[in-house]
Amino acid sequence: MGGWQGKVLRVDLSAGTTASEPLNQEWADQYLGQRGLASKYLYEEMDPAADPLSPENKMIFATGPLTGTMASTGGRWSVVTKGALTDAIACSNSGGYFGGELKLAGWDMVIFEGKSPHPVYLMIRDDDAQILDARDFIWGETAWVAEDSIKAKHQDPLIRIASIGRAGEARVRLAGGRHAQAPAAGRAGGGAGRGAKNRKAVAVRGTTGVAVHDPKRFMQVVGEMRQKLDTHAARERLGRVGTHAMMDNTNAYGSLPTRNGRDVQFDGHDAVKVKTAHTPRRSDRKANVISSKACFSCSIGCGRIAKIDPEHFTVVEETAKKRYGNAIGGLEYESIFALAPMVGCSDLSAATYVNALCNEDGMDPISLGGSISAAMELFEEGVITEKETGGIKLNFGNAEAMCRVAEEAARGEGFGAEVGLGSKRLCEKYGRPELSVSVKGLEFPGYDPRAMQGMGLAYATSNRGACHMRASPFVDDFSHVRPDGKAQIVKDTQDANAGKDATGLCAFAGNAWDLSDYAAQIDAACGGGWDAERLTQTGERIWTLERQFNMRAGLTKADDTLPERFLKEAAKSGVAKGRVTELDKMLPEYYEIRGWTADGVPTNETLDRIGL
Amino acid sequence: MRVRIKLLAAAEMPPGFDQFGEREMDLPAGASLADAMADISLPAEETYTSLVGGQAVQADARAGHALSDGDEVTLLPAIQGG
Repeated sequence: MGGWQGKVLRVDLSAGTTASEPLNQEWADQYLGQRGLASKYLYEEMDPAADPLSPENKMIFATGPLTGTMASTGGRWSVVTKGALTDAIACSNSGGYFGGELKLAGWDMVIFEGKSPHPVYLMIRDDDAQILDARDFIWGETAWVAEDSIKAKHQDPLIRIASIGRAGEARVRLAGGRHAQAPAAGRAGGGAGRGAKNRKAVAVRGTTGVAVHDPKRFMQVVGEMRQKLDTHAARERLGRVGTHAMMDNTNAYGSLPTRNGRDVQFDGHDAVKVKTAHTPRRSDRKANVISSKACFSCSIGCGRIAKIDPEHFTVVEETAKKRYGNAIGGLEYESIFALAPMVGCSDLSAATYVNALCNEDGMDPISLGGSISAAMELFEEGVITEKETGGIKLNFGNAEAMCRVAEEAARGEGFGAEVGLGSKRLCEKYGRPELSVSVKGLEFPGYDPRAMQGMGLAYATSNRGACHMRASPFVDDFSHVRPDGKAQIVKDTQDANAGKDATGLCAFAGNAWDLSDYAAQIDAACGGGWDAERLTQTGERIWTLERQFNMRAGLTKADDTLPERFLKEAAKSGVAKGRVTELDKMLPEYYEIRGWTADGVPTNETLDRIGL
Repeated sequence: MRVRIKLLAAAEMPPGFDQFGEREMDLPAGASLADAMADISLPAEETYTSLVGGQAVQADARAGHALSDGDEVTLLPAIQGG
């Protein structure tokens, strides 16, 4: 029982009731926590074909067995639901402090079902859970105001809060959730799902602890792992320059999606690269990045605190956003990629501003940038004009236009409401579906699959749509651009990452730890003989269960593909100049390695082998 | 001959590199990419991608890849984003 609290909180929003029930330990042994356990509950409890914005959709907040412990990076938790953006299973893995606090309040998971008749928030204080009225309080407010208001009302600054902003309330499909002013459970439309349930926020204060199976061994193992992590070069890099440094790599290699994927290298890179973000500017002699920050129990500290140039157009006027000129959450690689090269804008402060909008109003910056870039291409192709955009000249590179559309999207108003549909629905509406740079409706992260063929296969086969965290073909992709051997690497790392995503630990620790290091900490916390092999098998079980959910939701092999651009238009520059993504060579091999049919369906033998 | 080395995404520059991650390196004629990299102090636990003139040279081909005067070598660690 070590590592687990043994309790699940079930919240029936339709009935307005909360109930404690015992954790299904058999499932926890088979699927571990977070992404794994929550996916199992979701699969067993809801109809995958249900409308994601209907009361029939469920949403699960899930910790892992190491969440809330002293294990390094042990603050991870997941939101698992059917995605409003993707119509597929959606798992958003998040950090911050909320997950640790939930575990310390005594809960492994919270399951939300139904729909409240009016806006509410959930207040958890250890065993006590109450559904409270959000009307005339935090409904209609941003996520930042909601957090401050809850802490003030309940007179406790240590309450941790997961909230949606106004975008989620407006059912903006690319909306995500926010907590602690910046960290997100952001991808695939989970914010819209919360808004559809009339559930504004979850507030939690925990004062218990987490018992582990073998305390002495646990202390020893997590100490050794902490030492291994803290002395690794990747930790040093992530702590000092964050994930933003990746843009140096992708731009040099020719795998930086630029102007909606038209290009693979960005001519405005120097203005938005990590070195620039750390260099004092002329106006106030301060750099964009002013500090770093870390999540619960983390010694990496890859998060950024930033400050917009005080002379920048976004903060000089006396508007409600002038406060964005103060210290705010800064840019990660994925957000700066999506809000700069992808939209053709070389304006670091504009990207920082839109990223802050995403933090405050609860939107996914990757999907927002990818949807604005799709709208820009529609505009440049003449498919839409200023008539549709409300007078906005939405050309690539127009930072002011990007900011204005983002402001509208945050409120679900004007042309921004159309952008908020996500690029897939936007481009379909205007008859150019091929211009959506997405898979299963989820916009691309910052890796062009013509130069990174393994990432192309990873995007195409990802159960939640285009995602850079579902597989890790980075080392091989940065080594060569041929499709050889990618299928095995993608399959293996998909399984390994699914296992890691079930532990309560961060994937970034994987720069220093191998899978046996994750497993050793689980074994000390939970007992039961956890090793790398069992964690891999668990990951494969999770992956295949997600696949089965999607198949029952109506997805097929036809959804395991990439936008036409990447299959037919050759890269114009970089290491892959002249090449397209060779998905036709990789996908059949991938299915075969997985033990699936040529149509991408797991065979009965495969299901038996992995215990499904 | 003289080549220019660019080191990307570094938290701290190794000896010989300027604040922009660049370094000029004098090498004997016929020196290989492996020879050039041997003179750079990189973290042993990390994998680095090497580009010469923007084209990737795989790790097992570095010893056989002769550099030329004026070449630009780019080194990038195979990190993952977020």
